[in-house]
Amino acid sequence: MSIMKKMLTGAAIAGLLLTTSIASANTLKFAFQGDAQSLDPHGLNETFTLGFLSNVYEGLTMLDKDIQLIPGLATSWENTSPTTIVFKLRQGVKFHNGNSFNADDVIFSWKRSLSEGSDQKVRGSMVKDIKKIDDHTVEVHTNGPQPLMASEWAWIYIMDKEWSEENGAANAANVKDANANGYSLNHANGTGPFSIATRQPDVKTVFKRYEGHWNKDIKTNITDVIFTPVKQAATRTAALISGELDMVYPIPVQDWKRLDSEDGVTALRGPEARTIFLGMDQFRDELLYSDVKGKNPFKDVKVRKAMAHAINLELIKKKVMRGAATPTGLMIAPQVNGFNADANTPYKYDPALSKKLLAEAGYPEGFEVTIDCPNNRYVNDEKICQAVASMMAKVGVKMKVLAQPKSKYFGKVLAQNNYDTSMYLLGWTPGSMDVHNVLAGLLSCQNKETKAGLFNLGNYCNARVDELQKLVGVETDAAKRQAYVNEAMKIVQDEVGYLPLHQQPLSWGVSDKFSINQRADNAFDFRYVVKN
Amino acid sequence: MFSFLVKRVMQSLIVLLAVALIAFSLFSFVGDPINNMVGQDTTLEEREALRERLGLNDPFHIQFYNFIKNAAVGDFGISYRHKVPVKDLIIERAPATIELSFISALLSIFIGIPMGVYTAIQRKGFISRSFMTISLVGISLPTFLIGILFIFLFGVILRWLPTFGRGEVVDLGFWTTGLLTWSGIKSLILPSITLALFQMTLIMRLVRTEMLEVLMTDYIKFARARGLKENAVNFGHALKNTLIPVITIIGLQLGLVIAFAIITETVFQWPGMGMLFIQAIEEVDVPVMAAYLMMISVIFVGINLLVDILYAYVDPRLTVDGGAKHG
Amino acid sequence: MAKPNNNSKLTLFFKGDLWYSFSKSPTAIISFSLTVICLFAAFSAQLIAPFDIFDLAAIDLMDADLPPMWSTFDGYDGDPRFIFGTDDQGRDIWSGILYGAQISIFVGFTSVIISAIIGIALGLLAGYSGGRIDSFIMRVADIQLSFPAILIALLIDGVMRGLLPRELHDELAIYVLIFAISISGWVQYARTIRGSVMVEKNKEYVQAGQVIGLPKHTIAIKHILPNVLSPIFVIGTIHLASAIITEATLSFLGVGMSPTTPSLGTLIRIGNEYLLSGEWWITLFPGLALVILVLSVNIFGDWLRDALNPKLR
Repeated sequence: MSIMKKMLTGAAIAGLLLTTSIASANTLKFAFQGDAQSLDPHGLNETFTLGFLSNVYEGLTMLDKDIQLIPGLATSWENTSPTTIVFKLRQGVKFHNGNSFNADDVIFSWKRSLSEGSDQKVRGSMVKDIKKIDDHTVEVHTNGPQPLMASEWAWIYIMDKEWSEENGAANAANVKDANANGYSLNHANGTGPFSIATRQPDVKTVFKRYEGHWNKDIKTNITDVIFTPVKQAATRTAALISGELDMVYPIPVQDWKRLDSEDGVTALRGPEARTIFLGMDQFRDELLYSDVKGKNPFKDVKVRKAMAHAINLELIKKKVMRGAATPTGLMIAPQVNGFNADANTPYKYDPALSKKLLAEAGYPEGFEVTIDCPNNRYVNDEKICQAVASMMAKVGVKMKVLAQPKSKYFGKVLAQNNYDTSMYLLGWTPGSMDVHNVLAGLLSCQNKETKAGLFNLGNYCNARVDELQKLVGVETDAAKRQAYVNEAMKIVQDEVGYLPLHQQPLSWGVSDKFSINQRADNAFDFRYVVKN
Repeated sequence: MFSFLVKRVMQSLIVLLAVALIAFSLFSFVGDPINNMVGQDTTLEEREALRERLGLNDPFHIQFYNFIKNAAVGDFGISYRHKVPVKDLIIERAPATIELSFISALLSIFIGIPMGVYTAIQRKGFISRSFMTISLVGISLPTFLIGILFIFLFGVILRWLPTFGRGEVVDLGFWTTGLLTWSGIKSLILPSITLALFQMTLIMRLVRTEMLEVLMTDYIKFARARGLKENAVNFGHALKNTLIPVITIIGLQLGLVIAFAIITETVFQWPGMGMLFIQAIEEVDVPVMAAYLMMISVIFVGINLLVDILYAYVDPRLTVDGGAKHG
Repeated sequence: MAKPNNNSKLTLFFKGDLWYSFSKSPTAIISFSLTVICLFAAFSAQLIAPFDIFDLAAIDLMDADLPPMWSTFDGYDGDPRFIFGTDDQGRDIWSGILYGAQISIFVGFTSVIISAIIGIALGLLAGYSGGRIDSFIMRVADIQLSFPAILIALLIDGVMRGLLPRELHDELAIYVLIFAISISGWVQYARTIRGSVMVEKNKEYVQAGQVIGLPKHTIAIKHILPNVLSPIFVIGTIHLASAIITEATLSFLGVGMSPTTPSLGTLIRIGNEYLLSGEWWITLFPGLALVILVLSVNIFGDWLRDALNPKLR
């Protein structure tokens, strides 16, 4: 009996050892086309960087695999008044360095999100003040009613106050202080299920599973993650096929067929909630990059209409996107709260009408304009611009394409450089998955104080849309709210405030050894990665 | 001899100073560095304060002096793109480039020299002629095309070898090496052959030319006339006399490997200094560009100086003449 | 005067020995003919190319990704309008090759000529004046020679791109390339010319010129230069091949010609993205064109060098 018992124990131990050794072998190798900007959670508001960091840092709230809001570091929250929200914080949460998570860290992280180097000021400034009730309760006072605060704050990651202060990282890091305070750019200490083991920017980042994570129920059985940025799309696909990598994204749409014909790999595709669109400078009296002098053609709605009717969305879908895009007439995707399928009619392709409108507007011979375009941000971004340019040439508009890497592109066209563009291609996914984010960020007039229209690079401006944006922001009745949304969308469409192109596809390549959840906002969450 | 040395060192310093001026002018003329550093919400006053702090309002010569002073200790400021000191970036990336270059150099020497010798001895033979033709093709095929071809053939179709990166590397603290793991070694194969091919053909042709010239000299003819065996003449006399100039020239030419590493690294996504530089050009990351420019200049001017001194040591007549260097 | 003498010398040179060995060498004839055909085709691109690839209005996205006319890919049959198929934007590959080769050769030729002019001028100056000027020029040449040409071109290209505003990059790319490649290539010419000039300087006809009081530059340009030119052709031919490769490499690395005015290197770069998805023709044909062009120029140059070097014949 005792021998039997010993043997059983031995077997159990052996089994245990076996499982641990198998578990320790669960390494995921993945690649993206670029690297995360840095490890600082407040340094850049960009989907890839924030998605990358969502495995290391966590917010008070979180998004689950279907982008539904779930409790994160807060277990519950409730509005005690229209401008007050009380968050109950999770107990027993430890940062990777062993420090405990408490109310002070929340207040610290909020203040940090407003510090000079932060790119999360828009989200941070939703909040006027945070009062500590006790170690695990905070009372948040918002700037006016902010029904979306909890969901926007899924992207405000909580840092450890003590760790940050010890390492001189109390302010969001930017280059000014990189000599002394750049610690948070290359080091991380979050509460997430993975910690950063080593990082070489642009070369390699190694994640290690954090055993002390508060949530023992997350699905993943991965212990190590190795991330490599691989710029060339063909190399990425080849490395996936040859088994050097387990997961890569984005896969160029033209390589889907190739992946389908290979064993052991799958092209995971789906509609991304990201709308790709073109914007036009509608506020300057003369365009910066055009041969039209003394006036701005884009101020004329006829010209904007002409542009809209000159673009053949179906052809872009078929040829540039290889069938993998959803042409759109709206600035939001179907997954976004507030989407109204009935209003989603793309502008008709009609070059004859386009020419006629141009002639009526006083440009029978067309005009010249330069379009700014990123070349490593969205699916086939540069090629879309080139295709649009050749379509424009057919109605007489000579469009020059200035395609640059995203860091240079954003540096040129965004507010920090005074919106230095005449026309541009941009993609947008509302972080909160709600239409209000788009109304406020893209469709409202630029407003320096309220930060509204911050990403409305061409300053499309309509007073009624501004009003509607405010109404949508505070309206709680779903039907009324939708009516406001519809009205605003209708105005934007009638005035051709933007030229929406399509929702781009999510395009991930995954080895069959892994099951992976593909989120519609293109963020890669390791919590749902399972090695089969 | 001493005055020659001083003169050469001075000349080298002047060259470096000229390069430094170019590198520095990059900083002054390429856009506003402030824009590359601050966020979108930075106010005008904050920008002005930053200008002052970074010394961008100082007169030109003071800024240049500071640049040289910092460059001398390897401080090129902070990369606009990576937001870390350029020095750290370069130290981090150097092992990848050095390993790749070193392996390629070995390959090209140990294959190139025997091929050169063979083609010189068997000048009219079929194999010789094929070598020469292949070497012409080797010179005419741009490195990047060879790289693409290799990736397509060995990576995509045959799937024998990895097509990007260094594989698993071992961190020795001061150095990361791919030579200690199987995946690291496999990853090294395609890029190092790609990089070596061009050098190999160059070395082969160089050895052939030198050897042919030596074979035509009187003392070789004399050796033959004495009735020495063909092999003794070829390897005992001719090769020995060929190798001395060849080795020196090869030493000089190996600098080429560093240059071509830029191309190879880009094709194979090899995380070395070359890729860093190309990305810096694309993204106009001025501090990295400036640092690379200076570093490469120091390496090449250094090699050149060394070769000059060696030559002067071997052949003192050269110290009199301005620049009758072999090359 | 020395003039008729020079002329007949050159005529003799090409009509005599060189021509004879050329007519006896199939390698030389084939490589030379191929070179000429490539040059001719590229320079008459505007006439023989079926499409103007710079005219955006002439490109139809509808025609994108068509395979070569004799093959079928992905359900699409080749279209007889596009012999070698089309690229991702619907550009005809064959026209792209012709226009691309034109840009590549134009950049190559211009750079070679500028390099030669700079090199010859400095070589003459150094060789004829001697002394400090000579040692200064040759010192610079030595230092530059220790840097590989492609590295210098890359560095100059990088610096220029850094110095120019981004909006002008595409328009000025071709000049930047020419500048970078010419600056990187003058040394060979200068060294060769200087060497020959040093020899010629002591010959009687030069001394005669000096005696009758001709100005220095007249002697150098009118009398010495024509006598030292023949090695320049050899260097020029081989340099042309390497200049074309350098241009292609820079464009491939993405720091040369832009996709809207592509050279062969740019075309290969674009096609590289499609190699895996099976659209091999976008890379293969421009790649082949580049190899044929460079190889024939190189083989011809190689033959020319051997032919002009009696020691090795």
